[in-house]
Amino acid sequence: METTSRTTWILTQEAFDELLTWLNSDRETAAKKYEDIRNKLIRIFVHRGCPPAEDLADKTINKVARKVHEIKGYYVGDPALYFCGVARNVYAEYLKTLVEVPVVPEITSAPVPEEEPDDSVAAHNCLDSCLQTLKPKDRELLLTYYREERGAKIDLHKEMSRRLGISVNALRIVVCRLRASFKKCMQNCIKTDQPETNQ
Amino acid sequence: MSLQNGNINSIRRYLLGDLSEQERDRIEQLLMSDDALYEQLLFAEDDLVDEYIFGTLAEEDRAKFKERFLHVPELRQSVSVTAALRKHALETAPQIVVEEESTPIRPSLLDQLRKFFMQPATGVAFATVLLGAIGLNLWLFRQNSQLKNRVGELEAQQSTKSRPDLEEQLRLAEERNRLLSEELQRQQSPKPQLVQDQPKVQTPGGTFVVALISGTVRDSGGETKRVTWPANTGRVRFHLDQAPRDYRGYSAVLQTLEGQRKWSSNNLKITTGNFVPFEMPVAVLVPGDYQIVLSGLKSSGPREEVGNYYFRVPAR
Repeated sequence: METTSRTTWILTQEAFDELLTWLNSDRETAAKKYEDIRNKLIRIFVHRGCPPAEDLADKTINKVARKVHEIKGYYVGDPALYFCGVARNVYAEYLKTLVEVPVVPEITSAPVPEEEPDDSVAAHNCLDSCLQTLKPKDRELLLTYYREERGAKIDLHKEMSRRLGISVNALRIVVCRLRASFKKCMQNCIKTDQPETNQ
Repeated sequence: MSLQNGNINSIRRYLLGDLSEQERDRIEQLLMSDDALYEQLLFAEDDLVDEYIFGTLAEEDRAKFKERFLHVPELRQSVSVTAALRKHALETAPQIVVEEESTPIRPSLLDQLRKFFMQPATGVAFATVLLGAIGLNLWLFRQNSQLKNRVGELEAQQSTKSRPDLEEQLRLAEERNRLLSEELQRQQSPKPQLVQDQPKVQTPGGTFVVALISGTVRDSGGETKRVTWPANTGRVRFHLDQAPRDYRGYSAVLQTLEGQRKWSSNNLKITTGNFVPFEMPVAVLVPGDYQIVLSGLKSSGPREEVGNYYFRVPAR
């Protein structure tokens, strides 16, 4: 049985280079594609309710990398779809490990509390420092977006989009991107010494 | 990019676990190959979190949301961060001019203070306290001036009497300083050797360690410092040396010499070895010339740039 604990990076440079070349002949484009695929795999595992989502994503990539030498000989189409198929197998293997472990995983049995903001000093410091990483204009936009109470929220967002000269949908997209960068900063800040963003 | 209703609905159902296994597989396949759809998934995820935090999520969806989002640490953290952001937004809300009486607005702290001081009884009491405080300040100022004069006189007396003692102390301090400098040099001397020899330590997990010294553009041979790593390396960790210690945290940005940002890390800490570790996957380090900009963060105030580290990744 393969372990589901945090996966160590066991790829050889040769296999990794071959994987990148398979993704794209241009090294930089390939690196970007690699990161995209990894992020998507993590999201898929997260939404399948797997807490070690990053490990499973890396495991999927490793499996593909180990076989890339033969895959590239016959596989036709978007490599990302191949990863998707392998991810399903990895997920099935993960489910088996859950059955084999006698202890019922905590996540399936614990009562779910209502989510409250994290008021710890660390979280508070991170909140401040991550807000400071945003441009003042973006910071104000994000805070204003979250300022209104239930009913007034829709009116506020209409008013904000009118002032910015964009549609409400466009405003949502702008806020979503700001929030994504803010969230990433927060997650990394709370975790400490993890990369903030990869651009 | 457009948000198409059909996709949004399917993605929302996917996120809430409403899809059959086949539908779920199909959506995941689309997500892998369609970047725009993946972006819509992130939007939909945020929308659900917002609706949950704002309390506008339908009761049925709320139960599904809790079942799926609050059970997975990463999603739970996303909810927690959004809740913290909303709380902060409400706490820092500026004063709003109310045009319609029917819109209840929570008074800000400033409003509450203003209202408090506008009350007649409070005003009289405050004026009395203010007058008392002014009187006390004047008395303290006089006392302070008298004390300053007395201290001046004593210092004048002391300086004439103890000059030889001071000179002796100064000589001893200089001697101590010289000994400490020699000791410091002895302790620092192995470091340049470490850097010149490409100090690379590979941990069993495939992380390759490289030490860099701030401001060093060229190594002892006059070449730009070259960084290479063995074949089975997954990540590279730079030890950014000679960072000043007086910051509560550090952030580092890897960028090309043209200023294109490649990777960054926040909330880095200085280690006992007096370096700041900064780690990234090797895939980020395509051949080229790079600069790492290290910034320090104090308890308040903006980030301050504290070091620049240069190196080259040669073509393989």
